[in-house]
Amino acid sequence: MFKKLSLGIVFLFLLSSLVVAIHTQETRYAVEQTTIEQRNILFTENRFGQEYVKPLGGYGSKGASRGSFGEKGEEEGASLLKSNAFIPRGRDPSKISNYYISARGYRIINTYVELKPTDLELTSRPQINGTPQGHARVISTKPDDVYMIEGTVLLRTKDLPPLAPNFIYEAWLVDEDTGTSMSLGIFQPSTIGRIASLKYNVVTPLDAFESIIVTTEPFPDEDPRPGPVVLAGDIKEKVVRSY
Amino acid sequence: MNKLVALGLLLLLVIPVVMGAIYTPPTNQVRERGVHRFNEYAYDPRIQYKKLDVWVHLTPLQHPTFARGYPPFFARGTARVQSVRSAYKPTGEVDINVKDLRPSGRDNTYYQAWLYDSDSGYTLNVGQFETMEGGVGSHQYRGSHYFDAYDFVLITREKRGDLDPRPSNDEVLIGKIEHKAFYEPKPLLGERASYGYTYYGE
Repeated sequence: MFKKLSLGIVFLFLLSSLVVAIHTQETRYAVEQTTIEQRNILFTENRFGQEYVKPLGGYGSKGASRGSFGEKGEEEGASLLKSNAFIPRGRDPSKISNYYISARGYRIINTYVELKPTDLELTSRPQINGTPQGHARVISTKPDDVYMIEGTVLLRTKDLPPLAPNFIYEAWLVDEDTGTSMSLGIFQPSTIGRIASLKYNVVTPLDAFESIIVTTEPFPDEDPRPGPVVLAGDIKEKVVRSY
Repeated sequence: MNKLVALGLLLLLVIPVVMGAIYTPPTNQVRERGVHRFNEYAYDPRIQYKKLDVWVHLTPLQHPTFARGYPPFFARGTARVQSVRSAYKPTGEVDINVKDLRPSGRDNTYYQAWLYDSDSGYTLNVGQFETMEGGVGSHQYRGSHYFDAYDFVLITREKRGDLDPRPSNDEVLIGKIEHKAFYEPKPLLGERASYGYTYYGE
């Protein structure tokens, strides 16, 4: 009698805890206050719900569907690209991908420029470590997937002396024929090591420019024209190839 | 003895039910995420740089006139100009979208965007872009400048392959950058500073 009673109570205990576990509302998978039963209904088929139908024939999906003529399937690696803009014709061998009529006649520039100090007395404090110097790579080329010519300048400076708090360094490309200077950006050398790096990227060919300079500018500055020059370097052997 | 055991087992039955009703696991609790920087207690003018985030409406220099019956479509565009005047991470961003310009593929030209400072006459190049049929074009520029000095966005038409980095006289679109005092929080003065008030200058 006692055994049966205790067995029954234990069974009841397990059953009740199971019922409690099932019917306790929880917030899971960003679905608020649902029970296991409700979640099972929601997540059984797929995560979009019962009424979701897979799109027909690749419409709206990123890759071409399997079964179309000669195109790549949905599951293949090429279809995992962010967009299908670069494979509009799949494996079609007659596709000419590198032809663009307006892009003829541009010059590729890829040069290395050394910047030397012009006048050390222009800076507010005497130099600490060594002679200020800078190195830059000037690139002007047309990326494969963009029709316009992009210009890139990678600049690094070393041992530029610390400035007064309301001054800052700025880099420029200078065209000596027209006297024009194009700002590449402002930068602060680090306190320890006195090194700085600047990356400049713009959709413009850099054929016209003959030199790179680094100037000191007031900060904040209401006049965007260049100030006194600290470092300067000529861009030599500009053109790598002409197309 | 039997009664006691039965009572114990009954308690064992009741306790988890009660606990399940009372206790809510930590995964169940709703929590606000993220750091709330912009409240009245966390204002610090040293880290509130002057910022700029404005939309500029680009129109031709002269509003065109149309013959009767013609649709009034003319070149137009928008530019979003964003800038942060920080000495350590200066940010200057320009996003340009234009419409109804002449398609640049027809006459071997391109369009070039500039920021223009009318006080000093300096123009900052922010890049070239093309327009396709319909005169639709878009362009983005990201640089480490701040744009406090500039008060116009200018778009000119340039010949392809010219070696003059200055803007040409063929100005297509122009728009004024509105510098609002809202974007430059001034340091607090007087009694109000001690109460955590903020104001944006005159």
